[in-house]
Amino acid sequence: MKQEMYAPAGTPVANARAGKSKIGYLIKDIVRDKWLYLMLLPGIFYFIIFKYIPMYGVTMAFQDYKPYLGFFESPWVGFKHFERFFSEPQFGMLFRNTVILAMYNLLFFFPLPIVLSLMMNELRHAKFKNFVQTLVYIPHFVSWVVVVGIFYILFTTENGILNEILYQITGQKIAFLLEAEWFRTMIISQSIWKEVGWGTVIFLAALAGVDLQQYEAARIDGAGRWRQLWHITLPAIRSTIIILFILRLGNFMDSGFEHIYLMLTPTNREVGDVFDTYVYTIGMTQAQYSYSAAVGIFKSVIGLILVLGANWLAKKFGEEGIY
Amino acid sequence: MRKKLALLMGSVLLATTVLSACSSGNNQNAATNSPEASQTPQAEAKPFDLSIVVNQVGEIPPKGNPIEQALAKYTNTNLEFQWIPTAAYDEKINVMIASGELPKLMKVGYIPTTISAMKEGLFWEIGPYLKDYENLSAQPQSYFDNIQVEGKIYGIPLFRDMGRAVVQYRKDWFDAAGLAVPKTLDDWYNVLKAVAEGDPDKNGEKDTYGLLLDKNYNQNAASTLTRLSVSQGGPNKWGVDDQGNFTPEFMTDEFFATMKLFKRLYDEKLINQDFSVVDSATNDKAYESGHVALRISGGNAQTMLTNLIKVVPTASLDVAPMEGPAGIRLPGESGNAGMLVVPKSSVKTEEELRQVLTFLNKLLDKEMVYLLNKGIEGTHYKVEGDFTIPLDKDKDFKEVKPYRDTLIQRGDNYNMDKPMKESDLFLKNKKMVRENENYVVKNPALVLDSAIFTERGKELEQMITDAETKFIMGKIDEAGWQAEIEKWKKAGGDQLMEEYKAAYLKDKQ
Repeated sequence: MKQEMYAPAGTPVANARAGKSKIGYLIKDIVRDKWLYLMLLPGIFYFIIFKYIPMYGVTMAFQDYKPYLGFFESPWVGFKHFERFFSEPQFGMLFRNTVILAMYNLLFFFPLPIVLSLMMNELRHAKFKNFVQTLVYIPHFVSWVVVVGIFYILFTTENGILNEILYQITGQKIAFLLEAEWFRTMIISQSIWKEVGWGTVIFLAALAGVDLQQYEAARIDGAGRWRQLWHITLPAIRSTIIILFILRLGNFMDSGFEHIYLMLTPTNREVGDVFDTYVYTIGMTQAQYSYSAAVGIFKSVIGLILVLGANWLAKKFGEEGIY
Repeated sequence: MRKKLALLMGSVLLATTVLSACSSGNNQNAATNSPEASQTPQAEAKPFDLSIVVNQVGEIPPKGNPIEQALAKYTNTNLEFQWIPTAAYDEKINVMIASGELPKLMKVGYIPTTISAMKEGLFWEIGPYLKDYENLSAQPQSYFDNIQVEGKIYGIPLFRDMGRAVVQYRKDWFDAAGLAVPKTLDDWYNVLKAVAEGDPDKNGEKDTYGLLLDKNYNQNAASTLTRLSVSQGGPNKWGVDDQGNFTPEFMTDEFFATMKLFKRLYDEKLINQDFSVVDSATNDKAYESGHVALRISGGNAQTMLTNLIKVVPTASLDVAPMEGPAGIRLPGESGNAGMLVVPKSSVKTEEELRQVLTFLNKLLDKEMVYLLNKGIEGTHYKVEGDFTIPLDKDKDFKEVKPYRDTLIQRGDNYNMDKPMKESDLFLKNKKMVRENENYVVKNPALVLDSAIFTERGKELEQMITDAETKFIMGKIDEAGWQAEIEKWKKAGGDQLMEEYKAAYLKDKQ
């Protein structure tokens, strides 16, 4: 961060650097750009106070945390909670459910905002385009409770509209909300309904930055719509896609607690129980804070590894990556 | 200029002294009027700041409403209520305990997390103090027995009847079809089938159910499965033999037979097909719109009838006890809807604790019993002879019920000389609940201590309740059900049974 801050101003000074100590230059730089550094301070404090200091809380995972003893008095127990977690019979099921849902998300959900923004980009009529854009944003502002409630009304076997239609046609009803095999389909389709529109924001911004002259040139060369898409539009937003993909991997293990929790029923728990809901059951209802902190750390570590790996891979293929 | 200012300040000072003298004079008058307060007139002079955390009942009452004012005035306190939604109450309380920011008085459930908080000494042990408080010590010991932790009392229970379960049924439908209230499980099947398929509402459509279950149908004290299986001779949650061996209800024949009944009802679409996801509030609507014949309930049938006759004016309801082949038999509940505890972190001294207890004790004074049960005379009720007549039930529901349900009172069982005038159905239901106490089967594990229960009681419970649902819905067969029980045993069930046995034998000595 600091480098970014003094880099633009630093170039002319760089020549004069030789011979003097680095610290001396640093102080000189700071004195000269004091106002810039002053503006940086609130940001630094924000990260220290709200991000770094609370991180001390992760030590809870290595303690037997007791609320009345606090962080400093609770006994240290090393990796006890991690050992318990990995030897838990449910561990395999939770891991599988979380990973499968995450894969489905990457496979079915992630590409859709790209497709949708490409489609919206092709719209000619500006007013119509704005209208569609606004329309697809709306579901994002509907809370999960309401979304699940709407799906419940539509899909329930007792007078649910969809099931009534199905019953008229086939004479059968399908318990979408109860059957384990429908669970993932429901979760992913709800995510798509709610978030796809919102996901187009960044892609549309990237698309707006594509130089129109390139399209003109391509048209003169006789390229059709598909050719333009393939050779101009997609390469132009490729780095955006990759960055968003890497960031997405950081949340790979986050399944969206609220959403899943609302959709869980006794009959789909074996495919629906994920780390997030497990942490809730253990941490909130059974008040085993240390154990649930250990589960949380495990999730974060996997997320970190995925981000580092994806970033390394992106750089290998000559892309920018996120840092 | 200066002189003027001094004069002004002087007169202001004078005025305040005079005013405060007046108000303290009033206080003393009020204090001498009530016998309770006159014992310690000096401590009463200044209102005691009392923060209370309880669950939200209906809408949150506005601050400083007449009920709260009357409460504060009588008990000489500055009341500060915090209402927490019931749905996530226990979780929120766990977080409050963890953060250490606690009020002076709070409602908690008798659940593993609060029990361990009690053991760790987060709350005052109030047992030894109770004898000094006339009203608190006058309550039956059995209510306190059910909230003890290692033999100690840490809170005042929010009193509730112990034998609440009754059968409430559509008398008009039953009479028209010539049916009687079921006793054996075969009766239950036949009756429910006859009502549900006989088009009792005569609208030519197949839109009636025998009974509805909601997603909590097999959970906690109000579990329909437990209630029905107990009526057939099964244990209440846990059975225990002479040697102290514990058996969970779901390993008994009575319980399994009850599950098989529900499986059959489900297969033949005599109960709602979406029961494992539906809320009790949704079911209430179906009951109140006249689509269902029967329910096993802990509430009063009159509440349902009041709403039902708005939709079906000809409807009539009746109540019957939970009767099995061997007579009336029903599960005994804990006799409380949670309890009020006093955290040590906010109430530091014994003197302060005594002030909190004085407040609780006063809630059972006649004046407060009337306030909490009936509201304010002239607004919510009026007196007529030996009875009181409710004036505005909706108002009572909105303004008085939140306090009635979260502060201690025992209805007309304690310190109430003029009961509320009620309908025959209400009184019949109430009388039945009172008589039920003679037939209750106790849960022998209710106050037993178990480490594994504290650590993973919730998980173990969920494992079995899920399996019950799967069995009823036909997702697993009998072999699958047995496998789930084995899984439960391995995951800690065996240990749980052993720990209960050890605790039971220890208590017995």
